Amino acid sequence: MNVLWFCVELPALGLEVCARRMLHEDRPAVLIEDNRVVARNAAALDSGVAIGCSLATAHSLCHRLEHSSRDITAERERLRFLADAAYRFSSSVSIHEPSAFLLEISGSLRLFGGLYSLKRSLISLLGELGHRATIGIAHTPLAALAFARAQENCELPRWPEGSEVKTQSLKSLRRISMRHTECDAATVERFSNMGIDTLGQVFTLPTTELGRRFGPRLLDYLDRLTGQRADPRILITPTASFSTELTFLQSISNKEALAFPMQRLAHDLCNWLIGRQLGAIRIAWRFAPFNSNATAMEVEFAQPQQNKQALLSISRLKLDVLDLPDEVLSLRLASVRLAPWQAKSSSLFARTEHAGHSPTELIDQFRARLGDGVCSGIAANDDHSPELGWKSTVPRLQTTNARTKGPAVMGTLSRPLWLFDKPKPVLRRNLTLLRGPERIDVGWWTTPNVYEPAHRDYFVARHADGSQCWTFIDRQGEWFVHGYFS
Amino acid sequence: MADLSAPERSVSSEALLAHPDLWRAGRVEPNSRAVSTGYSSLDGLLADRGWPKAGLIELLSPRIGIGELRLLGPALATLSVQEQRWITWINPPHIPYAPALAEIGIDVGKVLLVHPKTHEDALWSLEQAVKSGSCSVALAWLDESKLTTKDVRRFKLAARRGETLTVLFRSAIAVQRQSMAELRILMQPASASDRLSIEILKRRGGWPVERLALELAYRTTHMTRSDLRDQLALWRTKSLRSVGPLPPPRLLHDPHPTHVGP
Repeated sequence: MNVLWFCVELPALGLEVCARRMLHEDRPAVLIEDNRVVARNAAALDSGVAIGCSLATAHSLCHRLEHSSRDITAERERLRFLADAAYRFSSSVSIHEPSAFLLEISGSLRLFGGLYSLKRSLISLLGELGHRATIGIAHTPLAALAFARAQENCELPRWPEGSEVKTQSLKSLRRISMRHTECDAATVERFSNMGIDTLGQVFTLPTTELGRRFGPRLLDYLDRLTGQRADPRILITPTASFSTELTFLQSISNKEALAFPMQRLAHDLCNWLIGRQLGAIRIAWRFAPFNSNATAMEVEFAQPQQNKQALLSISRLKLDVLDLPDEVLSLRLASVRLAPWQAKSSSLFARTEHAGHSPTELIDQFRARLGDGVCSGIAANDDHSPELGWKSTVPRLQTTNARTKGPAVMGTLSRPLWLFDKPKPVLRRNLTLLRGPERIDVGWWTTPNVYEPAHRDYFVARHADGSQCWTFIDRQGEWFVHGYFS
Repeated sequence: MADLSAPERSVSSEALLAHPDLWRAGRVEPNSRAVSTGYSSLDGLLADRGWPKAGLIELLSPRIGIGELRLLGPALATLSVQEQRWITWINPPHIPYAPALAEIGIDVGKVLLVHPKTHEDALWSLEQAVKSGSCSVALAWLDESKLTTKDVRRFKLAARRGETLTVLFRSAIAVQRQSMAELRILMQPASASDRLSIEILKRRGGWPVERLALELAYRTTHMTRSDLRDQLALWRTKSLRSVGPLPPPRLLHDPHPTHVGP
């Protein structure tokens, strides 16, 4: 069977998770465990902060240092998110804690254009998400993991055969140092004391002797490493909804500063959506202060949305009019309603289509800034009474009246272009009647007294001020203007 | 030696004027991105032979309802059919009546009404609509007392960017005010019905035009008795067709009466 495992190892996951919470990425930062520095970024390295030094030493070495203690839960969540994102490359993704995940990609090679093209795509995806990854490729998961840790590249062709992968992997495994295997530190040290540093040396030793000295766990590991024993993996099932939280190192008190973390979360969401072939219809932001009630903000889109810029611009408009807590300490973005994504094909030589702006985005913008009820469409309504002759609709760009064949230039107009909300009383002496009457019985069937029909006689009239009106006289002999033939 | 007495090569003034390097103020290249106003007499006065498809125009009138929508009507109808973009109405003073819009050929499915609450929001919505590029036309009724020259300038730039025919409906007092609009037209009620008197205050490549009486494109008629009869006939055939084939017409003076009355 042709099996090919990719192992994605994230050597700096802890630090990268910490960096996501920082507002200034270029500041020196260290990761702390038990009051000791366990990882530091390039800026901290430049200041001379060493791994293993105490937090106080680190602070004395560089005064703008940001520190954060290691958050295993956040790292686990992030790893899970990244594995989800990698799901687009293969359906067999398995997480190997603490900082790696594995993909079985033999079935995806053809689709992604060969081994190296796939590897590049994977690295650039992770880079976009803010992570540095090393990738190992081998015929077993554990060998791939060892290669990823040792940053060892197997010399494989673009379209490798199963047997080729196996021989190449076994050959390269011999060079791998014991430090990069799954063996614990004590075992590695015992091997080292025996003068054994690489796996190649271990392979030459008799199995029974190894078993007696190091126990069956080592033998089991070696068998799975070389593929002599099956190594089944628990595969992930992609999550059904998106929800990610960012807790900041310092609380944020102005909306501009929130833009940056919001961008990060939106980026993650869009990546997740693309991986799942979904579009967001409704998303929810949650801005939480340290210890009081969080403020929620839901944003809805007229069409499923996958574009980060669109998601963000609409969210920002809504944020502008939102009352936030004084200090926001954590930010959460969750998907509320999702819909299958249907990519639109746009014409190649579109003249009137403007890049990045679809008609529904305008509606989303209006709704986000001005409120839900501010936009409406109109439609003709089949009703006899003038007031009910039109209706307000949900704006949806469409071609409605198929009868319309361009402008009816010398046409006639039987109804006014402007209709008043309520008819306005008018003095008869200001009106010059031009045409009419047209009797319209207005809703007598809805009035309580059916014996008194509410009919109106409509006239086209010219008002003394020069406007052309649609006027009527009711049964009481009162004159009203109901609209303008503007 | 050149013969000084020889007469100079005569150059006619026509030939000189036709020289490609010479530009005359009267000659303005028409902009192809224009939509006909639907009024040939008005088209003839405009350098682009119509409303600019990507530009700002101002229609000034002493009051609402004298014919401003019918002036724009043919262009709105053309654009609503040609383009898959919105026709956005920002802050319309009354309800744009859907049956009437359909009657003059405007596709009401593309009409978008926006009712912002404040003047600032109205300015913002107009600019968004215009610059987004998802509107073929944006019509706006803004608060004249708060509108500044700077705002108008912004709309003009946005209109170019978004390729939107942007129309500001302003009160006649704005005649006195400076404006960056490409075309400014003052409308006055005419003495007769279905007519509009216009005055071009500013246009590209030409002087203002004093007065022009336009016969509006759509006449205001009501259903006449014969119209009603046609309607009834249409309604009858429609309602019968859904049931079954049309029964044979019964003659009023049946030559072979099937029954004899009392």
